[in-house]
Amino acid sequence: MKFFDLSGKVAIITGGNGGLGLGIAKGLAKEGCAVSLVGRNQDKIDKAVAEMEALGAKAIGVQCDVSKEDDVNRMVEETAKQLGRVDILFNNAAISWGIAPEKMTLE
Amino acid sequence: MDFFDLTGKVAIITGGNGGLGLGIAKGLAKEGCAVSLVGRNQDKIDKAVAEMEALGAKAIGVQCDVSKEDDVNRMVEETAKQLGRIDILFNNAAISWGIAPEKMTLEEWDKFIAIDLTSCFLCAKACYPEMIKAGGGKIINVGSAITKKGFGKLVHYAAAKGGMDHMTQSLARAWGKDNIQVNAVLPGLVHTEMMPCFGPDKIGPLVDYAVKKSPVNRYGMPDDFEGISVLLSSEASSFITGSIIVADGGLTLAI
Repeated sequence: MKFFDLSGKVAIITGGNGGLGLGIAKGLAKEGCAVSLVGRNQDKIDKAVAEMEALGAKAIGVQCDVSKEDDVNRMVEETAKQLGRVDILFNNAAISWGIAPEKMTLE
Repeated sequence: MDFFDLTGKVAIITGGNGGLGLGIAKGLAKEGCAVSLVGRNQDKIDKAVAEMEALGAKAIGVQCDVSKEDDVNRMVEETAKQLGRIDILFNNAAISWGIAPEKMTLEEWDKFIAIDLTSCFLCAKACYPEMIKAGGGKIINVGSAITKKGFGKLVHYAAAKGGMDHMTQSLARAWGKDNIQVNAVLPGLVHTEMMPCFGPDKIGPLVDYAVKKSPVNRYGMPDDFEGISVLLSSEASSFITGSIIVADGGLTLAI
């Protein structure tokens, strides 16, 4: 058994179109994993997919707002359809900014 | 780069002549690591070395009482002499038995702490100059998920293992500058000689209860620790240090 082999596996990485998410995707791809890079910015997705493909990885990009259930369901469905299965999920997408709590609105 | 390749590396595994330690050794050897199996029982050492060699691994055995500084220094020296370098140390040797704290004598306590906790300090200290020579190193302290819980008849064990957790964090800070990463793995219930989970010596009610409660519905086997041992020994974990990683199949969440 090879401990870390991911050949034939499929991973969804939210926020996979840049930063830490793209780093995660590269690591998985090195072990043979196909990756679905999920993000909001289509330009960043296209660049990230191209970068992964240049490394010889199997990668697709799926645009999605992960805060919306319908969008998430469509994204998972599309990944499963294009890559055949889903084995791994990285819940990586996140936003953040600094603000004093008393200045933050409920919205 | 192959993240997990350990070709050319040398690891010392205390308590490596059986149980979890031998499982760790097998994992490292699969990635090309040479291993020094350290224990007290020479018969068990010989069998373990033979088992490793049968798998095609480079392995030596060194008899040592890890609670004795002179013995530890000799063991490290002998490993470095025979295998050429030291990159990885698994502080895995431990003893344990259940006893109510009010019944434990100071002598028993001191002896226990020397074997289960002081030994980790001695081995780390002795390996440090060799790791500096090698340009860095990996120290993995095999603790126990018990530190996430409490057990009335294992006060001594919890104290030693809790000490290892905090030694892990502070060693990581002390030797980060030397490219030495220090982490801890905390197993839960694992089938070993010390804690038989099946067979005639099986500790029935405890094992059955734990298996029923565990999210993975089973107890651990030594080979469950091969993967994480390779991870924490290899370049793949170069950004992981001072981490205390529970590897118990989720048991501590459930009991």
